[in-house]
Amino acid sequence: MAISFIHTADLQIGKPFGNFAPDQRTLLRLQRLKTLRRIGEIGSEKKVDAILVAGDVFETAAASNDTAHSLLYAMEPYKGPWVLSTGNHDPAIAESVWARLQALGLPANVRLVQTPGAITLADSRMIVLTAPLRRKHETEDLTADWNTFKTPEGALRIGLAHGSVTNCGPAGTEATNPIAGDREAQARLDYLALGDWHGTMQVGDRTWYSGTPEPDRFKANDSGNILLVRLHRPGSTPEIEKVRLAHYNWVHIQHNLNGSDDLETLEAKFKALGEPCDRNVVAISLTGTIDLATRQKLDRLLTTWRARFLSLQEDLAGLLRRPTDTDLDRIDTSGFVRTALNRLRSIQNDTTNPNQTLATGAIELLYEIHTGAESR
Amino acid sequence: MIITRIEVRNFRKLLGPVIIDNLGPGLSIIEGDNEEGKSTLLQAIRCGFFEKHTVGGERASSFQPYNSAVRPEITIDFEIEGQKYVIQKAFCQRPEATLTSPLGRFTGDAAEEELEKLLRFTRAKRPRKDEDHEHEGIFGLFWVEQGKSFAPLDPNDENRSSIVQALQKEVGDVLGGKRGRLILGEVSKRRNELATPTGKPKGEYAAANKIAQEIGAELATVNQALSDQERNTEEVERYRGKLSRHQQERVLERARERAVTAQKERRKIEELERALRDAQVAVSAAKVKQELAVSRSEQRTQLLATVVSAERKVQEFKTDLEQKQGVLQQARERVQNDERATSEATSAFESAEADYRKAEAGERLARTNADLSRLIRDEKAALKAKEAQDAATVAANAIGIEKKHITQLKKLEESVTRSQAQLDAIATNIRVKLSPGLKAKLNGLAIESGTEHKLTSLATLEIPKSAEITIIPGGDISNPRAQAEQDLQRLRQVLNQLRVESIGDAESRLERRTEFSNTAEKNGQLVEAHAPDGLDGLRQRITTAQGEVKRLLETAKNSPSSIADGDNLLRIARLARQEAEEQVTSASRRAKQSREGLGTAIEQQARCQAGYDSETAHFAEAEKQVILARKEASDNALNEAVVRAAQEVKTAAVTADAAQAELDKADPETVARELRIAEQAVVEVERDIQSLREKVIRLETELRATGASGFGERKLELEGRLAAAQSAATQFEYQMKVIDLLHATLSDAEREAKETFLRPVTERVEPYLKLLLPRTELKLDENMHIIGLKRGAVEEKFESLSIGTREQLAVLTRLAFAELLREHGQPSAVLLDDAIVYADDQRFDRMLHILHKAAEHLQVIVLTCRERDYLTAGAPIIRLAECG
Repeated sequence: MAISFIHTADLQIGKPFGNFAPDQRTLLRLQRLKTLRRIGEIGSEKKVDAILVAGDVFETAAASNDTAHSLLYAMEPYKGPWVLSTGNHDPAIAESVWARLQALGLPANVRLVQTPGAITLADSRMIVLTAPLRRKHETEDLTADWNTFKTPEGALRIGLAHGSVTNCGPAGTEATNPIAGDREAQARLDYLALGDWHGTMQVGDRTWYSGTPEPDRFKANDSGNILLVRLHRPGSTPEIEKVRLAHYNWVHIQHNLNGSDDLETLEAKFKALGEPCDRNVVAISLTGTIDLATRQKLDRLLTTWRARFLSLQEDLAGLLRRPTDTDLDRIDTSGFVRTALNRLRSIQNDTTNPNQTLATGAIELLYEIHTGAESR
Repeated sequence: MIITRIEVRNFRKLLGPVIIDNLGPGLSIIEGDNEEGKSTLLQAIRCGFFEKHTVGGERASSFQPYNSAVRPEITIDFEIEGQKYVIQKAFCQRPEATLTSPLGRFTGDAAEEELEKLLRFTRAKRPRKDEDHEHEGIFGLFWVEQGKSFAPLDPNDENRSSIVQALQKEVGDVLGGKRGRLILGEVSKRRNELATPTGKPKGEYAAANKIAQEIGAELATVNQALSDQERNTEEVERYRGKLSRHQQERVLERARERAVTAQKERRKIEELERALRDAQVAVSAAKVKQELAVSRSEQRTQLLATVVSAERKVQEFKTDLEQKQGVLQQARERVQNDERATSEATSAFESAEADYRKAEAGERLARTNADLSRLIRDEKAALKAKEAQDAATVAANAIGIEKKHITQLKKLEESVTRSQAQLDAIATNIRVKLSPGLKAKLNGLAIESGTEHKLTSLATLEIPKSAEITIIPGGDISNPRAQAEQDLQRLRQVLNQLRVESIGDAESRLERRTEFSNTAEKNGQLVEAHAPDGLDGLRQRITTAQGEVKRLLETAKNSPSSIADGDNLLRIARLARQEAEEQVTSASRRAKQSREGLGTAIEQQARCQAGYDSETAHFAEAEKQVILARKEASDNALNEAVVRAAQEVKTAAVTADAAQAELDKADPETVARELRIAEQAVVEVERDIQSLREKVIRLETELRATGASGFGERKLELEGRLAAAQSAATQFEYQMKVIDLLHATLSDAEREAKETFLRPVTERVEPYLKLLLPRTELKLDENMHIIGLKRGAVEEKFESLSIGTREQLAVLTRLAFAELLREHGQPSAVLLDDAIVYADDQRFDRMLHILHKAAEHLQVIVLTCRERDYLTAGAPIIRLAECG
């Protein structure tokens, strides 16, 4: 009879999202618990044999007891075995959240992995080999011991680890917590469930990063999924079903603006994000050169969409604002204001002037005051 | 504009028609003394141009001369750009206005409207006042009334607008108008919203900074807590490591084994120590026994010596006691003798004392007898004097005349004499010369021939045989005669009462009475001399003396023959008594000394007896003790016991030395140290383990508690918030810098624009200023106000300049404005009413030059009361007095 389980990781429960506004960060934080609850519900619906969490259950090992309680509550819908392993965010250091969680009194179906070893599940048909991180950064490959770890004949060997697969992960990620790229072969694993990388990614025949079930950053790396794994017998190829759970859509838009037309395409991109709008967490990076009239239109556009999205983070550092003669004439064609404008423009054009950037701001401000006064 | 002719009638103090003719372009001087109407003339000109002819009420009445209801009339001829105009106005009764212009003749309101258009002014809605030049177009600026010339120029809106238009024609719209001011105002407002004038953040900017700081501070606290937590985590791991090392290496067990071995060794040493202690106790016991034997032997020797000593002392006391008893006997005898002698001497003294008392009474008796004889003598003499005194008093009282009677008699006698004299004065005197042989009788009495007689009453002169003449004195003589007779009668009456014949008789009687009184007084004095206490007192004293004599006689037995004899006997008795007294004293002293000697002897004898008794008892006791002691142990037995005890001591000492040698060999110090070290090691290891366990528990508890509050999440949250807050603060900082740059750039541009804008004025002022105050520059603001004067780099405020300089600057600025406006089609005459009054001679001359220079293009009319100053001004002088 086949064995099935859910592979997830990087729940990052308790992540505070401090750089968001208070309402936004509350929503983002609570959503991670809701998503976890949803995983439990799916596990229950699909009657899986276990739910394996490959590290970074918590955002930090110093998470509060409240967070720990909320975790337990979110796991309630699934009554089967939960196997929670530690990660670099929540290593099993002395008296960490894990120790406190243990002290709080765990439900019998929840297994915390704080020491390396093996956990037998599904009537001994499935052995989960563990290699929990006990420090943020390990330099040794903790999964190496699996190669010699003996398991009963006929039992599936499932690896559960958190780290970077050598030569497979994104560049620069394997410096710490390394995991050998051929671990699945060396340790004769039927499946290796990994955590750390937040996007869903297959890194071997039987080795997968599930990614985080609820995105928490703007990287376009296919995050927001869990993996439903089915194994028929030892040695058979695992059947993997990717289930999308993401509630919030984290999008990073890069856009080049050089005139009013580009504004329209930008708005089209915003519209394309779909409804409900407030489930979009958007970051935009704008480049290009625009005049003051366009700049003003852009401000109006951003103001509108800022209110619609859950969050809109703007990076306008790459956007150059060049007032045109028309812009300036609109402010004033004569009098001392025009004299001042001409001076500011020459500062703006002078790359050696330390006030170059400020001059741009000053012209924009003048433009804004003028148009404001005009509209009044 | 050039005013060519002015005619004024019935306007205020200008009653008669005042006609000023021949005014022309250039400089003109109108001269008039004080109160002659110069200022009224200027008011009339203003009225002619700007006062509506239909004005009524108080304003219109104020144009009429004082207490007069005539019709004020003003006519002004003027030229503008070569065209001639005449304005005629009359007020109050039949108000009229007529403007004659090249376009035609206008009357009433049409004339007023044409004039407004021509002179470009807007008429006020309310009635004008003299000092109100708001609605006089540009002329309000150039027609300066007396006493106002030094005030700062304050162009009204109309003036300003005209000037600004003129300036803009020359320099363009450099200021940017209202819009520029609005923008600069908005920038300032935004700057003020974000920062204080000194650039300190406020409002949202300050709040953003504060938030970033607060988050930073909280983050630092959380980081500290986390760092503590990390340190505690490391520590707890380290302690756990140590504990497990202890366990692995069996540190505690090994320490305990070592302690058990050391304890065994220690017990062996304790055995040896006990043996030594026993041997030492045996030595001590032998020594005590030896000391006891020696002591008993010594006590026996001591007791025997005591018996011998006591016996010797008994003998010594016995000899001494016998000697003391002899001395006592002698002392007793001496006391008996001396006491007898004292008794005898006392008896002798008592006898002498009695003799002395008798002699003393005899002496006083002699003196009292003498006193008694004297008192009896005084009594006799006093009685005799008393009798004489009484007799004289009786004789004096028998004479009834007193001094007051004499005085009374003398007064009466004077009255008789005075009334007789008056009678004599009016009496009739007759002198009768008788022929020889003839005799005559007056009132029956014969008279001698040739004698004169006073007649006071009817008298009869009879010459016998020849004639009988009756004489009746004339006049009023009866009253004086009656008075004389009355006075005499009263005198006789008093004499009779006193029973004396005359005053002389009365006086000799009074004399006798005085003599008796004197005798009585003298005898009274004698009585007092003999009996000062009165006769009764004297008799009392005699009785007392007699009693005293009787009493003394009883004591003295017989009386001495005299006082001297008494004194002598008393002296002898006193000497005898003194001698006897000395004998008593001497005997008493001797008796006292011998009694004291006896006391001493008794005491010494008693002390000696006591010593003897005590020593005898002591001796008996000692003898008894010896007997008892020997019964218990003989002297020999005691000596043998001493020798035996010494041998026992020696034997015990040998045993103790052997035990000591064995203990030293076992090295108890090293054994004790080893035990101490081993036991301490156990304690230390146990303590270390306990301490490590406690630390682990404490740190675990602490970590659980701090971990429960979730500092890790808090840190991440704060880091995120801090980044956001810092970004916001930076944004504000950038905004502030932007505003600062914009503000500075706009302000600079505005300041420069203002300078450019005013250049046409300053350029026109410059030639005048060069004449008046070389190397200076006039500073104006964009509202055409004079701000001050710049000399080199120094700027002086207009208000702080001297009143003269202010006046001159105000005049030449007006000239510059007038010139500017003239060039831009708004010509105005300049009228100055005593406008250069604060200038010194030099400045005055310069101002004249300036006026002349201005008058090259403008009509300048100066109204003045100082004709002399302007005589050499090179301008026509029109005297107001001559304009009638």
